[in-house]
Amino acid sequence: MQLTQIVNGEVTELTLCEACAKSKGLFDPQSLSFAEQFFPEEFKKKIDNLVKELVQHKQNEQEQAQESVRTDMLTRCPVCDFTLELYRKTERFGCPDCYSVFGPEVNKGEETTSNSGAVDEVSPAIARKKLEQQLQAAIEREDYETAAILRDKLKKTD
Amino acid sequence: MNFKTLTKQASSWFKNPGGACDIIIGTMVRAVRNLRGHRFPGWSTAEGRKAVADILLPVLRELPGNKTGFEAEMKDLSYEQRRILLERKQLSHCMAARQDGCHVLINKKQDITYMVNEEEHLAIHFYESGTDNIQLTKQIQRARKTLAALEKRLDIAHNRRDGYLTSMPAESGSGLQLYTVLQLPCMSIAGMMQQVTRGLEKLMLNISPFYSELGDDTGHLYVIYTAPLICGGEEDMANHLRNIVYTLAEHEMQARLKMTSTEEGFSVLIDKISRAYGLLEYARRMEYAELINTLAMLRMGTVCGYVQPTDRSPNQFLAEMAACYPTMAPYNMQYITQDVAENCSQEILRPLLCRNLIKDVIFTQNTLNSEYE
Ligand SMILES: [Zn+2]
Ligand SMILES: [Zn+2]
Repeated sequence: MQLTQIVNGEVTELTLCEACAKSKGLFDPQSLSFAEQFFPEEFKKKIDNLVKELVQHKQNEQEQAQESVRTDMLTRCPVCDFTLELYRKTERFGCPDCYSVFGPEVNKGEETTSNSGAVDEVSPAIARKKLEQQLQAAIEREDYETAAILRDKLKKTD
Repeated sequence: MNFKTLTKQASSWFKNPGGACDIIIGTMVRAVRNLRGHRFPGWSTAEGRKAVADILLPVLRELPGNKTGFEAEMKDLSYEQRRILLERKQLSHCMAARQDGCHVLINKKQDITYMVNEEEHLAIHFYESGTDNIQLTKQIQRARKTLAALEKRLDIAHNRRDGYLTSMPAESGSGLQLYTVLQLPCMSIAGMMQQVTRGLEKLMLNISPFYSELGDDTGHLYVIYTAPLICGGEEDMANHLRNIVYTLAEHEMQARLKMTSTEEGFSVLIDKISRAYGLLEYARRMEYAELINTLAMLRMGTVCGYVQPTDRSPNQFLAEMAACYPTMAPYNMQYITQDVAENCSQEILRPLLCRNLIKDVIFTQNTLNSEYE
């Protein structure tokens, strides 16, 4: 991410995490310069916040990665690579499939959330990824019975 | 239609179709849709945006009025051209800052703007200019008709729990949002706008200045709009907003009557209208914001009968004034005068051009329009 082209000097070393920059809508260095022309003050604020978050994010990233292995819920969308962490920061999703990946985490409205049947059309890629993670977790806790079932299910998705 | 042709025609909100009303400027339905299996524009790459545009553009081009309309990729529009589209209220602010793979289409009639890779893959704005009888439910039906035609040919992201999926989960649902624009000069002179703002909040409606970049109250124009609508609640919300708009218009009329009922109030109102008239007659330099404030007073004065054209109908005069909002705006002025007036600034040109506007228009403080009583 060539944030350095617009914000010079001090933020050079913070340009590594493309994901974070993207989530802020700063996906396109070209359009950044336009954003600057249109909303100079907002832009400055945006960059300042971004720099703060990038530092924070780099520290959190490793812990986050480990945490995601432990839980059996997906924290990364296999279709678009968006993460739950980014959702919490931006209140946005990366692609329509994020709805079925992060859906349970995002309680929209106060209605009953138990109608899981209503969340339809999970894409095969997501279903597969979920199974893989569950399988990994089962193996780690040495629950080989479950692991065998999951492995069979996985085979069927091939 | 090329850019020059586009700027020669008034954009939808600035057409005055009739009805002796200067209060309700117009309505807009914003509709958004996304394609299944593609990243949202804010999380996308140049290639991703191009892929989305390649799917959407051929379908959009076949919609009625688009072949002879205006189309451009944002990267091919200059800074000035974007500003002009913003002045004409034909582009969202978010879209104005977009580049590669982001496209804008405007139909021939210039009452629909299609934006590809805005906040969402597709955002459509359906405009209707002011009338005494705003028809938000009809506007929704019109939007739905277009959306249905699109959905037949596109794989639109949707599920039963969330409705139409948007980049912000909190905004998913019907994918529709309603806007109205009102001019409330007397209420703002009377200092009632804060009260209105608080009231609207309680009614689940938002209000913001129409010309936010020029200040909070420039032209006494306000946008009143709903949050993105949930599925199933569209018609109710349309009727809700419609009722509120009529109530506000009613309050504005009441405020005018109340003001003219006392000598003190009458002098305040008539002073503002006469000064506005005088400015257009005698000013030698004028900024855009000043012009907009002046026109607001003249429009009110015309509806109240203090300002009267002698050779044309009041409606015709109201329409002429409405057309000045986009044409006299800074970037458009620069654009239309660049060839003819090199050494003449637009502050000088503006009052010169406006002088024609009040030709054969008289000011009188004694005649109350009978319609208005
Ligand atoms: Zn990141
Ligand atoms: Zn995703």
